Amino acid sequence: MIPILGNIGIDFSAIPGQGATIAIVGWLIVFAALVLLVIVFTQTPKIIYYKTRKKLREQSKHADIPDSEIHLPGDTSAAIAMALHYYFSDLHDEESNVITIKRVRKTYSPWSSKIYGLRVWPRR
Amino acid sequence: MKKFWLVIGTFVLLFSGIFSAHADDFNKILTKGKWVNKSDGYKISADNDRTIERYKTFSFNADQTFVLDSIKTKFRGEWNVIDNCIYLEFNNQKLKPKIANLTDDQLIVDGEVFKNHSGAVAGLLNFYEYTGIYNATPGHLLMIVVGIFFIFLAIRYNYEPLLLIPIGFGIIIGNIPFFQAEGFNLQLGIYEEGSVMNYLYFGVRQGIYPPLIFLGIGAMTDFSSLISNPRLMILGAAAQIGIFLTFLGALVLGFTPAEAGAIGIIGGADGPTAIFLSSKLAPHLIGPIAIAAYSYMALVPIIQPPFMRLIISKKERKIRMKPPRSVSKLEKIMFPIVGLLLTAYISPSSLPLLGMLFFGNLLKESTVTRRLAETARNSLIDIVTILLGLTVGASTQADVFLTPQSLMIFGLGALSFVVATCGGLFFARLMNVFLKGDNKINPLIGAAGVSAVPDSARVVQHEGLKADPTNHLLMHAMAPNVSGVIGSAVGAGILLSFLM
Repeated sequence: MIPILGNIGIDFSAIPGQGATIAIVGWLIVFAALVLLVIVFTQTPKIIYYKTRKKLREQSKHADIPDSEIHLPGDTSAAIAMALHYYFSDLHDEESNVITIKRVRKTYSPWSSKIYGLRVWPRR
Repeated sequence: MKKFWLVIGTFVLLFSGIFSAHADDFNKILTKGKWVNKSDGYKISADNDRTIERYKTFSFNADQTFVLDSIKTKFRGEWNVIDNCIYLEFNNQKLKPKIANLTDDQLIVDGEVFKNHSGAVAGLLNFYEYTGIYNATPGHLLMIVVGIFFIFLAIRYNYEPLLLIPIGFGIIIGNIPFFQAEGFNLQLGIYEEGSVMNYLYFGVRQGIYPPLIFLGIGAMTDFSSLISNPRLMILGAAAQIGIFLTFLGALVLGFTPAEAGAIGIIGGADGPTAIFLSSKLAPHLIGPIAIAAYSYMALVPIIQPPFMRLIISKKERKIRMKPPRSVSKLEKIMFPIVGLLLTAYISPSSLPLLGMLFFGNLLKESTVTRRLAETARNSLIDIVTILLGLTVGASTQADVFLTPQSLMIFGLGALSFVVATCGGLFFARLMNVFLKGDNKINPLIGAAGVSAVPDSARVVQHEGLKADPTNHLLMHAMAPNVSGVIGSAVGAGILLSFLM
């Protein structure tokens, strides 16, 4: 018994050996699972960039393409996205400035037509 | 001689008149109104030892039949008066005949005293017995106060309102007292078979709702911060120490290994995971575990900051992190598939949760199933949240919920949140020892590893802004936050496979 406050203490002997094993092994497995994901996703971009670099090299026939051209940081992408958004949302400003008046021809509809109103005496 | 027979005849007539008058009075008294008894000792259910006072009513009819109304069940029979004793014989052969005595306007049957009341009063007593006022206990009132407090927290302080409002109202619903008795089912309470609440609770008991919630979470979660900086995923694993230390703590407090596992998962700070695991390992503890998990999740903005300030120095809190790189679509699509394969192969028991989480995420990231993703992250998760919150709240029926075990679970739950937060923070500091230059991380984000999406990430952002008003950590904190969800689901799977 390890005393904590006065008579209150923790009796670690109450933990069965199996319990401690489960706790330690369990935590290690969680670590292992996530570390595996870390490894995979640290290596994946490298493979993707290697392929992109290869494709670009074939297309441009330049030997060296700087990393900054392939790998865009998030804030740069955000800035480009914002610029594009502004550009497309402001497109209406570049209109022809020619004001035209078009005659709008209304198609006839009996809806609310005066000839079918209640104030018209029905003809026999 | 003639005179003698005349005298005898007169006496016979006189006595027979007296006797028949006495029997008529007896019948009149017996058949007038109803005979009501109130006695203690009625168990409220088979698996609950609490007893309660109940009314029992005898009504006698002139045609020598009677009805005994006990625990809202009617037992019929016939009565006969022999030597001033009333013999009661039940139609149901399983019930033994009884002898009753009528003295001073009281009917005594097997030592139980029945008082005479008019039919109207007996009806009112019957109605009163059905009311919540009659069946209320201090426990019910206490739980209703707790429910109202949850609603107050949600509305006044905006603490997880989507959860606390349904749970708080569910607590009120679950603690409206009603007539309960062993062997009697009014089909009202959440624990009574056939009741509407019981049907809705089926999804909690069988662990159906949590995977559906995970589907929605997957469809609304953006894993790009995690993919752009995968190292931060380890923080999500580090914070899961809360699960395993709480598991040990529960064992110390005398819980069985299965119960300890279910309690330990509170440290995962993930309500659906906690419900899922407890429904498998300790179904009788779902109520307290779910309430503890959700209440502490809502209280993350109160629990975490003191420990964040205690463990992380002011200088460290100001560390600026490198902006995350942009993540390609291919990586985003790969993540749910690879993530599922890696984690589920290690811990297949967590498949219902992880399968749904990653499936939901693929619906979102594939960009070709927009409609399905929209449904999963809006309508579906909303419906399931309503059902889950309401039924989990209603499962806190005072007579089932208010036990010393629940108090211990609440204590362990608080401890697990603290341990998980500290685990994440210390590990983040440890990581910084090995990281150089602008790769260093702000250790505050370690606290987001406890899961509790997205509250703990929001707390990190808030604390980061307090230290440096221009340092936004939300994006970085989301990485350990979502990896915490994966980590706690894997942890739940491991506990399940060890303890089931």
